[in-house]
Amino acid sequence: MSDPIVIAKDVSKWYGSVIGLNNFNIEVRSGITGIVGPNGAGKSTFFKLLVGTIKVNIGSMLVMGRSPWKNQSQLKDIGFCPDYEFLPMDLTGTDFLRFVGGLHGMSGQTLAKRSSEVLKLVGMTEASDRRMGGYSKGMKQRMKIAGSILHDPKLLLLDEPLSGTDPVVRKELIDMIKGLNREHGHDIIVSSHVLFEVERMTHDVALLYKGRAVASGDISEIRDLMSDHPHHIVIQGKGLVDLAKSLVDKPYTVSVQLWSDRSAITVEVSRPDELFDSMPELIAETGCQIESMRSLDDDLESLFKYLAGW
Amino acid sequence: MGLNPIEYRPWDGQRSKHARRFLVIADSILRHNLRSKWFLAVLIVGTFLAFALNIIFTSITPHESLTPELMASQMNNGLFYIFMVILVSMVCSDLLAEDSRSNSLVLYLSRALRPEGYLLGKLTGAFITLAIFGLFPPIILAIAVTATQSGPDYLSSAKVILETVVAGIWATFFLIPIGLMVSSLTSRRTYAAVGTFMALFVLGIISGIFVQFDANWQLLDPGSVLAMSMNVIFGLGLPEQVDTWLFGAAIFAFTIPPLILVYWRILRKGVGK
Repeated sequence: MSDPIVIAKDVSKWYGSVIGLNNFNIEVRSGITGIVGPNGAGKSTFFKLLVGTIKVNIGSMLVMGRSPWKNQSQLKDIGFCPDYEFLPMDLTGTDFLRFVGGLHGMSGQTLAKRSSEVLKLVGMTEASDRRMGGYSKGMKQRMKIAGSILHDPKLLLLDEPLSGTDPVVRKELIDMIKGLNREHGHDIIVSSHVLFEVERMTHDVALLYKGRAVASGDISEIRDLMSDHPHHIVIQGKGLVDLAKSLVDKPYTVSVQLWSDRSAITVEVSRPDELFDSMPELIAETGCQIESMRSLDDDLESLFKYLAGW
Repeated sequence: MGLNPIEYRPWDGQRSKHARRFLVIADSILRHNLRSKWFLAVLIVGTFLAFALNIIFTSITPHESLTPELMASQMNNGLFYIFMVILVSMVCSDLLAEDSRSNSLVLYLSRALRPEGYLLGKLTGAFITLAIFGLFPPIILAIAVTATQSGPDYLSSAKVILETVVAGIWATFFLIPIGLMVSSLTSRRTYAAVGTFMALFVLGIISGIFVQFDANWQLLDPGSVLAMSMNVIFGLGLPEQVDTWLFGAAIFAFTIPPLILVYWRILRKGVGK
């Protein structure tokens, strides 16, 4: 197993009376690592600590073996893509990369060649001469990532790179992020508040909740932890009354709620895998027509509470 | 880093040891302003009214040499100060307020740039941009007057040209700390621009009210302090009724504390406060 590239040991960080991270422990190894947590979980605080713009109050944080605090020279090995908009809208994509490259001390032909490579890598070559104010959300995200990989960092930090994007763009970005690791060797820490999105990029996941790493490791291990936690699943379709009656009798069902317009039911289950496995049989039994099934995303909050033991 | 199909190769330069990267920020500020129609319009009108006419008029008027009195009067005229205030308000309003609004400070600080490098870059960018009005036209005026002088004493004229360079640098720099300070206190560039403009003029108005009681009240007005410092640079001295120590304290107050406040604000913003 490779050496950890990030080690956080008993890290606490607070802003006045607000706690950002609370006795936080994590070891991140090479590859892609997903950091999942709801808003306010401490994801952005974690990234700021990694970049060294803030200092831990208690504990120790090592990035590639060195403390990031006031260690500017280490930033040549780190590429940071924040979650918020910061692109200068009056610049073109090429101008932006030239500016960012300049901040990294790159210039001349080296910078021009590298900018061209990075634009190609993120699929923005054709739009690079347009002003970024006219870019779509997906294009802006690509340019933000381009700016963070321009200096070829070993470690890439992507803070919520998929937020606000539509499913098509999301898929493209996920493929791109996977490619940055697989084909170009960047170690990547990517955050999201949607477990499902992170799961499509990596199996190494840490779940953050209220400043703590409530679970970390392989996604299958985390899924095992989650398996006993009640999940809410919405099933839409026709003929759902019979399906609801059948589900009530199942041992994994905690509750079934039929929507007032009878277009859907919300099933609370303790073991969702068993529900999914038994669905073909249930459909055959009841003759219902299923249009869609989805797990409620807002259930994540309760999942985190469950994992944190609160 | 790894294999790739697009000639992706690691950059192996000495990025972290690049000591002049603040110039990248300065360069972007200059480019940004030179693309601004409003900035160019004020710059052209200001240069025409405050200098171009004077260059033509003074050059064709018979004169023996370039004198300190002539240059001091040119650089102390009200038009020069008014346009300098407008340009400082416009240029400085963009510098920190915009970064604060867009949170782009992290863009700089996460790329091996210290807060002091960031501040130096902003300061340098504002200086270079404002020098187009505050430094170069006075030098052109001084050279034009020297070139058309009738007397033989070019040495004394050269000395005045040198003093003009110093005066131009000082005039360009003097108001920037106040502009940066106001810009660091808000995340709206309009507020920053109006705030800078109003701060400079309100100080002037208050100074004008109280100056009848004591001449030292002039030192509350940045315009008066700038004019007096021009006289000092051109060797004409301070007005007798103005206290030298208070004059020094005023220069200090208009420059150093605002920059310290800006630096503190950058540190705070850098950690997300």
